[in-house]
Amino acid sequence: MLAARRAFDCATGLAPGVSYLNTRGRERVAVLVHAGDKPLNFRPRNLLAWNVLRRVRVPTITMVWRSMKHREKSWGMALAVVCLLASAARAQVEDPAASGKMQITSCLVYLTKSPDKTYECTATVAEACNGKQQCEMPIGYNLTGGKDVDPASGFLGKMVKITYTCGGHSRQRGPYQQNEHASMILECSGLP
Amino acid sequence: MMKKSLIAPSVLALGLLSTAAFASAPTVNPQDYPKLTAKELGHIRHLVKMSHQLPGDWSGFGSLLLLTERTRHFQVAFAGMTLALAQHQYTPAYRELYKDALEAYIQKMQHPDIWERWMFSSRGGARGGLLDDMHQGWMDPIAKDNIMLKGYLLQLGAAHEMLYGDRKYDQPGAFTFFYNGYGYGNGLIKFQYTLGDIARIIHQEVVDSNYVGSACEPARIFWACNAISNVGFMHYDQVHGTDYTDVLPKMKRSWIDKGYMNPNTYRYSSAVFTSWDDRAADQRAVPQTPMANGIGGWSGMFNHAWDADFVKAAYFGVNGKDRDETLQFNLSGDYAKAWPSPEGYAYYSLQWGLFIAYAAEVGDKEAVDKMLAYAERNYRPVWQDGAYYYPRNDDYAVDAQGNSHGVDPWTGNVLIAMARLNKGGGFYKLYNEPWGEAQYRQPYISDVDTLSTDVSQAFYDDKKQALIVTLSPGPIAAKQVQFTVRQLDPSKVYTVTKNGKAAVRLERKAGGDAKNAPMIWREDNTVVVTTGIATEQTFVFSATR
Repeated sequence: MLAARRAFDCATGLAPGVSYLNTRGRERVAVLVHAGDKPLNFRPRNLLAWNVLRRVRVPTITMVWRSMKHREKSWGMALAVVCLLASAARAQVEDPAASGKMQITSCLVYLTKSPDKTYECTATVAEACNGKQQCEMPIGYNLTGGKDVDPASGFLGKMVKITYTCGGHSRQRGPYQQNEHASMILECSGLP
Repeated sequence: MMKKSLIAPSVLALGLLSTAAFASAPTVNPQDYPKLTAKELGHIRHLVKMSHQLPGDWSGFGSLLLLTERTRHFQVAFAGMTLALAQHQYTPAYRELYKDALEAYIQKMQHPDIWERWMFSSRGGARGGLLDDMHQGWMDPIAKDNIMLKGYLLQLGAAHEMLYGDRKYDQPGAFTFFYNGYGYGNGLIKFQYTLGDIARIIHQEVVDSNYVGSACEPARIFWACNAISNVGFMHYDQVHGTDYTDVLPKMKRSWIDKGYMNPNTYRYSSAVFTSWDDRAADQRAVPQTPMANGIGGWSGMFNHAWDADFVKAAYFGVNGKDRDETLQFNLSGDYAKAWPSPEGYAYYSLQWGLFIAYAAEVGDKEAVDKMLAYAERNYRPVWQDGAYYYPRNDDYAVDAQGNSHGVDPWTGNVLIAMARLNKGGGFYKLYNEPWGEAQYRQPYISDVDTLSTDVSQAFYDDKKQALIVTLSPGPIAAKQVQFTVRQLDPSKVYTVTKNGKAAVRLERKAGGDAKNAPMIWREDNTVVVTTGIATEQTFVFSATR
């Protein structure tokens, strides 16, 4: 049972006898794991446990527990597999790059008629957007130190291109004209 | 959106109910004040109804001709300005219906179906000798060129500010264009502007072109489209104290000096082409045509506001010849034969409508009456739930008497209504008799149930301190209706007549029994009026002391 208990702790990330707030922070819930062959005891509201379990992507852990409670060996192996899956899921939650949150890889402002003439804006965009699922990024003179880098070229003369990754997958947004009235919507959901 | 009837509120104060003789008040004759006829109310109801169609529902707007890819949006903008004219001329003391509809039309101008078409127009192309191939274009519908959208936003937004003292379009993001398509493009992007941004950008573009104008499509400047921003500047300056209208006489002078307009023959080039890169360079005008016909009315009806004598003279042409020929062209059915094709039919139906609206503005009542009679005879108008309009008809066949049934929605929905409502100089007055704080503080009515009630008259006479209100039955029958009178002076006593007979002495005082009271003065200094509506009802609220 101790192994089962350890496997369960690993799979759920819950420590026995510890209080947890529910997902909306409105109430406290105690989750207890009894020793021996008594079944898992969640009190007072199972909704918390289900919400937590769903977040670590092990929705069937209690069912495995209940159905296997008299078969310690196979139950232990099943939970070990579940534990591995949960660890992977937890890794996804904790690592932004792996979790689908964006990482800005480049931002450039360049002149339409001289594309090799570029102005770096990666740091500006990264500061605003790294770690987010979605980011509304103004693409005006904020990208070039508050200045129009080529006033004579007019509205069509400067372009902005931003690249970023979501969960390791690269995305490009733009080019769009550099524009004091425009914001690019960078996002990790939807189509790349 | 239709307002619902109010339930009688809790009563705090009540005026005495009496039919006895009252203290004397200036004589007020409701017939002396503007009043909407049944058809005019029907036109307004139709335009209001269309304004509140759900986003993306363009039922009734569709046309045979996608004029510069934007037929709907021009119709939307002209509908809004028709309501603005009616608001200003007929019911200044009843605003909620018009304000809501104008805001709804302004919102429609920001719908993707309207503004995203700019992505096509911005690409230009080899046609017209501008480029060797289509340009990559740009998505922002305001930043550069496209006066054919932003000019109307300026006109509508500035009119709204003037009429209601509401600065909502000065706020950040007041005009927002959000591209969120996934099928193509370079990603989601949002463009946000204020009314002031738009005014400033257009003004600068006019200056940068050496006062020829802001371009519609890239490198194409139309006299007609700049008329819209010209008058938009008028309202904007009145509200904000700017001087954007400084460009108006300079533009006219520029067009005359460069030979794009002949002030003696009243001929002009409808468009000037420029260099793709520089709107002041390589300017070439298209061949000249009379200012009275074609799309001449498009600019004429609005430019009349700041250049009345010239615009009226241009309407008639030398010795009245242009007006006579254009009127004959429209009444003989020749308009339906000029360009026998889907786009031709719709174009000439549009010019039919532009001419009648132009005629109305300059006060040519004879022409307006003849053309309205032609429309009544041929365009099969309908009454539908209290709305009156001329539905689209693609039958442009012409009989031996010159009658044709063909009518495009822009004309049938909007331009005929505009002409019927404009008794002469309507836009001149709209732009030269602006409202301000004095008007905003005057008594007015609100909370009218538009299903059961039409407001055909709502006017406050400041000199006589009298509010004149006439209600007509709406499309849904009701035994009783209510409306609220606001901004009466609580320190005054009012004599209220109903249909010419003394009805109530109205004053704010405590006590009394409110039951069955036809008029209730509430704690918030509003007065709720209850009345039957089987027939027209006219109220006059006159301050006596």
